[in-house]
Amino acid sequence: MTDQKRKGITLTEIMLAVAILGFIILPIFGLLNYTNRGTREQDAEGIAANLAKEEMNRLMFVISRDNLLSGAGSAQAWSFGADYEVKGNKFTGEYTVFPFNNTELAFTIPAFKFHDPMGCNNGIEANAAGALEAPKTMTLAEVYPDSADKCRLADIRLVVRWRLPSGEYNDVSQLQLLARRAFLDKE
Amino acid sequence: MTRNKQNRTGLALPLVLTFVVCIMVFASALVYFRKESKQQNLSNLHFLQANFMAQSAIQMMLLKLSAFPQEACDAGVLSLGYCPFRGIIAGANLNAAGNTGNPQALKEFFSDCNTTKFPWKATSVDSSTGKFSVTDFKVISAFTNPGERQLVISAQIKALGEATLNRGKMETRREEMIKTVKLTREN
Repeated sequence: MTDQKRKGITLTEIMLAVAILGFIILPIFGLLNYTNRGTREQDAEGIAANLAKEEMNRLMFVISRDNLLSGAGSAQAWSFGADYEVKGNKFTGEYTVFPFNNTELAFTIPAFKFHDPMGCNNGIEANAAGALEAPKTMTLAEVYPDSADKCRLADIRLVVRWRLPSGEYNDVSQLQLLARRAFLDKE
Repeated sequence: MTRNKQNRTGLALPLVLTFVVCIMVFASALVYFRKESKQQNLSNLHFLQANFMAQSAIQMMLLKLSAFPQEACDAGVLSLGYCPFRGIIAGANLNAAGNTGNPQALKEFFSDCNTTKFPWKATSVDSSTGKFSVTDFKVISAFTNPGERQLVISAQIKALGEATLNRGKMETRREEMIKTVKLTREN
């Protein structure tokens, strides 16, 4: 009799245990699925950041001025091509170049009061505090009058998008990099 | 035998509860590491953007140095206390006697290499996305090469890039970059 009672209690326990397992394990499976997808997305985002860095380095320091500026103002495809695949994920990117006009690049430059340099013994400035006039402004078009239409500064905006094998490109899975490049000529 | 049965009673529930606790700890760890990984990705991206901002500041300064090398050299010479019209006489100390240098000209020179004076040309981008500035420009060595009658100045550009991501609730990321350049002026 006592044994029978004990068996009954165990059955209740087992039923309770199964119920608890059901309530806990099922959401856990959902969570596992969620974190698994999240991990893949994180992985893709990390790869996208690396690809963006490589592409921006190319645009900043490798590609020639003419190639970079061709198609300026409109979106150009990045060098990896459309739907570039890494670990099953797809990546695509485009960059837009926004050139500065030399007439709008008006820089501030210090102006020095002219004085007889021979008055400065051993080259030491006799009146360092009063050696300057109000700063002047000069545009790059004035500095380089013969090539005033040649672009010397441009903004670059790079947008990289990615998608998992099962997904589509969207506005969330994307990143943007901005930079400004100068074209330094020896003239 | 009866004793053994007594020991077995009530085992299912503690076992399941222990299992459930383990699973929940595992799930919590998964969620935590996923969040960490996501934060790490955002942090990398943030760094990348701030780094390109600082590089952009360096690019602007290099452009200005290439356009106005004379003014840069003169400002550097004055900052050391020497007369800009004479330069530094061969064999002289880096700082003029009494250290009477005037750094104002150097400050004026780098004051406009930033996104405040030259905002982004890229559409839908403003300084809240990213900004940069040259924060310092100083001479670290200077000498006159008497054989070539050439003043040679080594100077350091210090640039600051700031990036703000519109996701992840992260604060503005700041990256500093230092570049050393060599300037020459024929005497």
